[in-house]
Amino acid sequence: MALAAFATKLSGALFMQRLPPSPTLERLLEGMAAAVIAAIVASAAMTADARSLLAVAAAALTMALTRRMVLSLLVGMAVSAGLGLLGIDPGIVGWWRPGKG
Amino acid sequence: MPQDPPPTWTDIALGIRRLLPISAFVLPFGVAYGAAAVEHGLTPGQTVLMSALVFTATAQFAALSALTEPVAYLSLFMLVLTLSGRHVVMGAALGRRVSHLPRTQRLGLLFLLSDANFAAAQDPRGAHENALGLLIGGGLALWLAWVLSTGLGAFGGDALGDLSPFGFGAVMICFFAATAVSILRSKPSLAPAMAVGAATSAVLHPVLETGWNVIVAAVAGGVVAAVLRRDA
Repeated sequence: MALAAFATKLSGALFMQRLPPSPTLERLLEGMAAAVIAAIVASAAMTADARSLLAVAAAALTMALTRRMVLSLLVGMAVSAGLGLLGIDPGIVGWWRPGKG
Repeated sequence: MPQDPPPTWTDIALGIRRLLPISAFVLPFGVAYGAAAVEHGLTPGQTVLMSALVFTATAQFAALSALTEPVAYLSLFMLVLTLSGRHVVMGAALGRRVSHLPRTQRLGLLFLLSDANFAAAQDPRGAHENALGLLIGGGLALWLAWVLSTGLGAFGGDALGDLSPFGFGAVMICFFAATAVSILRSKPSLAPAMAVGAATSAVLHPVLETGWNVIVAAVAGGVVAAVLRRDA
C-alpha cells in the first residue's frame, strides 16, 4: 500500500521532469493544478448531504468576502455543527443523484 | 509555472503554521480511521504504521474493506493505485517545480504530498510564502496530525464517542472550496480551466470509478488552460 501510494505521487513528477520545457506545457500544468482542486470540490459535492453543502457555500462566501482561510473554515464548520447539533436536516438536495430525491 | 527557490527552515515553518488549522480538522478523521482499522482486525501498532507509511486517507479507508485473510496484496496495491490516481496529476503539476531540489528533499516532498498542502501551494499568500515550503511544512503538519490521531483512534477511539454532529466531515471540502475561490480571485485567467474541471468531474462522477473523474477533469481543465491562454 505504501509503495502504491508513493508511486502515484512520484510517477507524475518523474514523467514531467523528462519532458522538454515549453510554455504550452507550463500552461497545461498550471491549468491542471487549478482544475484538480475544482474537480475535487465538484466530486465531493455530488455525494455530500445538504448540511455539508450549506457549510461549503458559507465557507466559500466567507472566503470570497474576506480572503481569510481560517475564518472561512470556522464559518463552514459552525454552519455544519450548528445544523448537526440542533438536529436539523435541511432536506433533499441530491435530486441529481440516482436513487435520491 | 516558475521554479521556486529551495525552501529554508523559515519557509517550512511558515508552511506548518499555514496548514496547522487544517491539520486540527484532520484529527477526527484520523480518530475514526484508527478505530475502524482496529475493528477490521489490525493491531493498533499496525494501524499507526500504515498511516505513517501510506499517508493517503481515502485509500486507507477503502483498503479496510479489502482486508481479507490471507491478504490479497495485489488487490490492495491496485486499489491504492486507483484511489490515489489524482496524485499522479498533482505530482505531474509539481514535477518541474521540484526538479532542482536535492533528491532527498524531492522525495520527502512527494511523500508528504496530499490534497490539502497541494491546494495551499497553488495559492501562496504574497511573496513571503514559498510554495515548496508550504508543501513540505504543510505536509509535515498534516502527516503528524494524521499519524497521531490514528493512534488516538486505534488505542482509545471508543471512549471519544460519535463526533459526527460536530460537523468535522464538511471541513475538508470547505477548505477546497475556499482555496478554489481564493485562486479564482488571484488568478481569474484560470476560471475557464476550473469551470471545465468542476463540470467534467460532476458529469463523470456517476459514470467513472471514484477518483478517475477527478483525473479526467484535471486533464480537461489543463487542456482548456493551455488552449485558451495560447489564443489570448
